[in-house]
Amino acid sequence: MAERSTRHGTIELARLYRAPPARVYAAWAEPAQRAKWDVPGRWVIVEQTFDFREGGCEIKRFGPAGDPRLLATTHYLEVIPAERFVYGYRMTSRDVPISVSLTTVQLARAPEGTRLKLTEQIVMLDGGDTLELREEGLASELDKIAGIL
Amino acid sequence: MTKRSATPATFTVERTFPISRDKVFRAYSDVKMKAKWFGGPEEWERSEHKLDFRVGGRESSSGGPPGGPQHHYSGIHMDIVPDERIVLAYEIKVGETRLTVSLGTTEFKADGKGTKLVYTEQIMFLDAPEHLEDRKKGTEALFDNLVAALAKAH
Repeated sequence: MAERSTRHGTIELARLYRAPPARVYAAWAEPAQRAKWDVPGRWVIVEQTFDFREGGCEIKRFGPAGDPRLLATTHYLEVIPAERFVYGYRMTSRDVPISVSLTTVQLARAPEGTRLKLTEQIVMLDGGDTLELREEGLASELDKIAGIL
Repeated sequence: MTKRSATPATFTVERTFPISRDKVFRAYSDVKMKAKWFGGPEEWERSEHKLDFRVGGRESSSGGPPGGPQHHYSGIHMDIVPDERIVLAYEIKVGETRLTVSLGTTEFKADGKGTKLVYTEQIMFLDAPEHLEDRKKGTEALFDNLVAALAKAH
């Protein structure tokens, strides 16, 4: 029997975008927008479905070029347009579960545009991933959003 | 625009049971067993407990004090390892207002001939003022119900 382990943690990231909240929100809500930034760095998405609404479920298969080993299954728990959305997702690597997350994204109007706050409450499963790597990946994605806005 | 807030917190609850973990696990996987211990205070009126126990499957139950506001529990199973681990994402609504969303990890560990259960809840308080102590107390009470229900069944 495999040795089971869990590691719980919380990742908090903030960004200031020079665009109004509705525009930042569209980076998530509109499939064509999201497909532009929804993986870290130069990784690629090989399969992705979109269902961005309360109760909606999406999948995304992705990874480094030539090795799309990761699969994220996302369930949206709350969607308040241009203000806040909350989703839970499980990630597997080569079909082995490595983490489950509960992610809350808050958008607030600021003089410069939009202040984004992302809080990811996460449980790492059986040593399959680390908080440090996940934070790096999420930070890379948020930086890519600035590029498309 | 409403003033929005989101406040995260984490707490854990542990219990030990003198029975093997497959039996403790069944108190989660079997809807009849789960309905026996999982719900609000005894004086509440409750709806039917719905449970689709598989990854991606949903669970729900509602209840409330007679004549009072309805509390709605609704969850999705995010990960299941039979007899070992359950990860559930869930929300609590009172009426139409979503108060909290949570990620609950339940770990079943062999402890001699018995089982040690470790529950870790990563909770997010939405708009509502943080009420962590209340939530911890409510969760402790649920696990007391579980201990009593399993003592009766075995």
